[in-house]
Amino acid sequence: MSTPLAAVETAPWGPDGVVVRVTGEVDSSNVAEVEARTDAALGRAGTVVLDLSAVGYLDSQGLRWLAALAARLRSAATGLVVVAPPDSVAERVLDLAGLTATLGLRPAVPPAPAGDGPGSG
Amino acid sequence: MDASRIRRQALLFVAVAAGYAVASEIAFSWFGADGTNASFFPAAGVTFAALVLTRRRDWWVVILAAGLTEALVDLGHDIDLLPALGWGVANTAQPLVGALILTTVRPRADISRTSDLLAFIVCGVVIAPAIGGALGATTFVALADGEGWWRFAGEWWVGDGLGVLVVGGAILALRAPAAGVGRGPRLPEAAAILVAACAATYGLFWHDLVWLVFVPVTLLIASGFRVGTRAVAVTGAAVAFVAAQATAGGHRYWDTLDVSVSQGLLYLQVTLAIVIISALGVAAEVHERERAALGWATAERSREIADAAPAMLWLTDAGNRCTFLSRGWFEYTGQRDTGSTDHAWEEAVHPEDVTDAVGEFIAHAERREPFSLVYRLHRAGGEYRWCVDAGRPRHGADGSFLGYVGSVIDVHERMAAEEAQRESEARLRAIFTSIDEGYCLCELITDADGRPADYRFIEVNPGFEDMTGLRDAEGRTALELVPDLERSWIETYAGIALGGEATRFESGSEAMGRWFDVFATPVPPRGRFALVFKDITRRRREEEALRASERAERRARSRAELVAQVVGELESVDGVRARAGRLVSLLVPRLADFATLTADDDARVLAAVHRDPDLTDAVRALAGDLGSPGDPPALARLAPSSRIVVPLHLGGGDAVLRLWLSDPDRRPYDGDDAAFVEDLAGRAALLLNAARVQETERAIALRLQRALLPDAIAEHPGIEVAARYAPADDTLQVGGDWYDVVDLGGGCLGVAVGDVVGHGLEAAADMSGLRIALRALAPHADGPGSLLALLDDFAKGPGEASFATVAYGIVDTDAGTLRYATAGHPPPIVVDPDGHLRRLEGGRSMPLCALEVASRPEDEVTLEPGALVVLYSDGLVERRRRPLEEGFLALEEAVRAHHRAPPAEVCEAVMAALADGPGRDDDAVVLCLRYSPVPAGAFVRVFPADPAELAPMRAALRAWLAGRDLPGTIRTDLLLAVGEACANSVEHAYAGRGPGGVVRVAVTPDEDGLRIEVRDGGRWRPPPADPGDRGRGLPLMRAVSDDFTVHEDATGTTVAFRLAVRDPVGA
Repeated sequence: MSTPLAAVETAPWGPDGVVVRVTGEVDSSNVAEVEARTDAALGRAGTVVLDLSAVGYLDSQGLRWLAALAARLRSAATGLVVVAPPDSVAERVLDLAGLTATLGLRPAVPPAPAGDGPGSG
Repeated sequence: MDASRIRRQALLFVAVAAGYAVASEIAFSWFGADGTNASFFPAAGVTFAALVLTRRRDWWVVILAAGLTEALVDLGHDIDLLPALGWGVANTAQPLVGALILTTVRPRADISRTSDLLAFIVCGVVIAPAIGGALGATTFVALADGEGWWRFAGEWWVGDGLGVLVVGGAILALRAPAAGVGRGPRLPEAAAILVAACAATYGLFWHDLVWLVFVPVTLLIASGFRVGTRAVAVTGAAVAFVAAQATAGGHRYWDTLDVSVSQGLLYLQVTLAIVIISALGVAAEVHERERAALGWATAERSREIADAAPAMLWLTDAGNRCTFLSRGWFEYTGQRDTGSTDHAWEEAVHPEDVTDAVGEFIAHAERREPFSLVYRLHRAGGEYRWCVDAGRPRHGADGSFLGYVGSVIDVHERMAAEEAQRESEARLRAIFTSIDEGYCLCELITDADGRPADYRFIEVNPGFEDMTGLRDAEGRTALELVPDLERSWIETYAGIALGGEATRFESGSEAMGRWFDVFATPVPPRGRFALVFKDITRRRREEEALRASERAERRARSRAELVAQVVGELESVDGVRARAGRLVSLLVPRLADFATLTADDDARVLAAVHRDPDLTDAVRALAGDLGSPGDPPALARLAPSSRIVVPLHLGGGDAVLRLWLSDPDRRPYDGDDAAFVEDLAGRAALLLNAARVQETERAIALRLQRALLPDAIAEHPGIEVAARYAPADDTLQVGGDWYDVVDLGGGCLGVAVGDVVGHGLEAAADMSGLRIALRALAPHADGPGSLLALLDDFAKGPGEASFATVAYGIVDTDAGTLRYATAGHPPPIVVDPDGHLRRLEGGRSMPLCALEVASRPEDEVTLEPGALVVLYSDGLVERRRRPLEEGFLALEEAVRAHHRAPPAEVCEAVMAALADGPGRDDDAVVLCLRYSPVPAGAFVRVFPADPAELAPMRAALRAWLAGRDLPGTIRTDLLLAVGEACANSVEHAYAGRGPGGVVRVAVTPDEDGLRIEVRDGGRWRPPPADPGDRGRGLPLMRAVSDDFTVHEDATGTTVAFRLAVRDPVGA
């Protein structure tokens, strides 16, 4: 088995949030897998922080996935924070696709909401 | 005058003179007491009879004899000359007048006939003596100075009358039948009567036995009854002589009476006359009755008919002597009835015919059978005329043969007419006979309303009976002969007979069971028609049989043609379904109105057709339902009238062919049809089976071919390669052509095109083995020549390719050379970038085979960048009926025309120009490569069209980018655009095509930045309605690039764009 092209890691974020960090490359060969893993990580999270800072390649298949995910989370009243720093591959691609405004990119994973999460206050 | 006639006349003269003299001399002894007259004068009878019995031309002899004798006798008796001459005249004039009248009234008087007897008495006994009496009395008074004219005349009249009656009657009676007709000769009886009568007379006169007076009377009457006229006449004569002699001798019976002598004489003579006449009358009456009873003279009885028509009758006796010739005969022939009838007959017949006629008569008479003679008979006036003489035997009541009775009929006119008619009839008949036809003349019969009801055959020819089988048709009607005769015949003939025209037609009569070829024509008078016809029953039957056999032959021929067509057309298409469709289409509508062919227990419909295209769908639906038991409801709607169901034995599961007829005008199927369809189905099954096997084999072969030919051609950065394979066009069989591309490493690429002799699985297997061998051996060979030598060894191995050709070349991208060698293969072609074309004809050697090959030479050419190399198999250039050189030229022309195009495009163009179209019976391969060395600093990558290959491609591109001084965004955009283009190629261009495609990426730096080209061998999907995927990909690429283009053509899709490198940003 070769090394997977992309990896999906999750971490709690605030009382009911989750940080999903995608690393590696997302293309047509693995977008379905990335999507499945991300969906599994979301659970019943109230807010999803999707960290794409470490994505080295993202193509139109990845954009399709992101757009679909955003629409789904919004209809479920789940908050979505997309993290893509300037000059990152994700930021460039989302910018080219005109999605930066819609998704409200953050340069970094924002701090978890105060009071609810560990270390807050 | 001939001698015989003179002799006859002399004899006649003597006979008459003698007779007259005797009779006259006797009479003198019977002269009256006063000596002036005779009480009985027999000589008168002699003269009269002689005249009646002779021809008139001989009468002068009789008259002369009688006249002279009378005169001489008178002179002898001392009578003066004048009275003697006077009485001579009287005695000749008297019979002459009487005979003249009698022979005129009754030409051949027969006193056995009542009417003739009457005429004889009137003429001979009454008139003639009256004339003689008048002349005699006048002579007596005027010349002999006598007195008493009346008395003398009266005595003369009585005496001569009795003389004529007694002597003339007796002589004439000799001409009558000797005895009564039908009775045997009765001479003894006649003699006894004669003697008895004379004896009684003697007794009466001499011995005054007055009571005997009734005896002669009774005997004479009895003689008339019993014997006949002749006997009466003779007996009467005898009695008269006896009585006269007695009277002359003084034995006068009237002496006992108180009468005068003259009165007594008168009484005697009158009594004798009455008695004799009575007896003759009785005899005649008896004769008449006998004649009537025998019925032999039917024609004779009717005098009018007999006289009007020249009816001539005759009789012969048992001794075949002619005893009677009718007056008609004498009248006709002009012969005189002399009593010698035998003689008369022979004299009258033509001398040329008489011998034959007599001979024939005797011949028949010996056998006593009826006969009919034809001869010429002399006719009064001189000519001979044709007569028919028919006789038949007569028999007595006791069956004894009596002779013949016969009649003679003048047929001269008829024969002449018949001759003429015969001639025309013979002509007509000859025609009829020669054409073997029947003829009849018919008369239409109409009913009370004047409608034609029947027709009568008036005349038919012998052929009529043969042709119709109807016997004795003449005089009978058609319906009498054929009661069931079809009315159409009568109506047809009525139309012709009643003013129609001559018509010829053929028609059959069921009632007669025959066919006729009839020529019918109206003939006058109206209502008559004549038919000339022929029985053509046999011909008709033969024609029917011929037609039937022709029909059968036609049917057999059309069936044979159908079989041939089915076989031919089925063989011309491949595949079970195609053949099934063709089969059913051929049977509809020729054999069926609709038909289906189903397989696998009706689970699969192979074909369904209706002659009406609008109903084919209904038949297809029907075919789909045939699997269920019973007739599908859909069938009833198609209204079938007849069907044939035949199973077809196919190896992979049985099929069923069903034919239906629904057109009510078509003849329903019979056993013959079913047998034919079964036979046809058997043949079709073989072909369907062959197709099934072939399909299976082809499926295997195609799979094998796919496995054998390279999935993908090894790509090399400095070389673009494409290849095309075209199977032979007659079948889709796998051939033995192959190609391969081997990466030899070190910038070298091996390309090979080969051809294994043969087709099908075996050739494919051989090709596979050869290709694998080449692939395995190529990296270890020093060059193309040595590789071919190695393959030679491989070819010698057991079970391997026995005969193959190969062209093999090695492109060295670094050196820019092509080393090549060919083994029995057509020469490769090189086209320089400027279009100059070379045939590489070096490095040639024998094909790979089992033979020892001395050497495998090779050659080398330099390739300019951009040069095109073309390898191909002979299937591309070889065509039937076309010189090979023409094939080469056509190939070169196609190559030259497209030499700047990408290799795949060149392959397509070459195939289109050479491989398409008919007449190519071999498979063909073309392989094109372009030598395009990678420029320094460029990125070129060729990778399989697989999503998994996208990441390694990007990795390589990143590595290439690592060595270059480029802004970060450019790097990101380049990766994004190239990645997107490649993903499109992988996902869309080859979608559904399976493995085998490659994607080629080239990134070339230039002054302005980077020039990018991504190329695949497929075609992108048309812009989808949902712009989701591609909708995102294309805008991304456009967004990051300049001069973005997508070019699609037959060989694939090329995406090209540029990324401008401006002043490095943030470097």
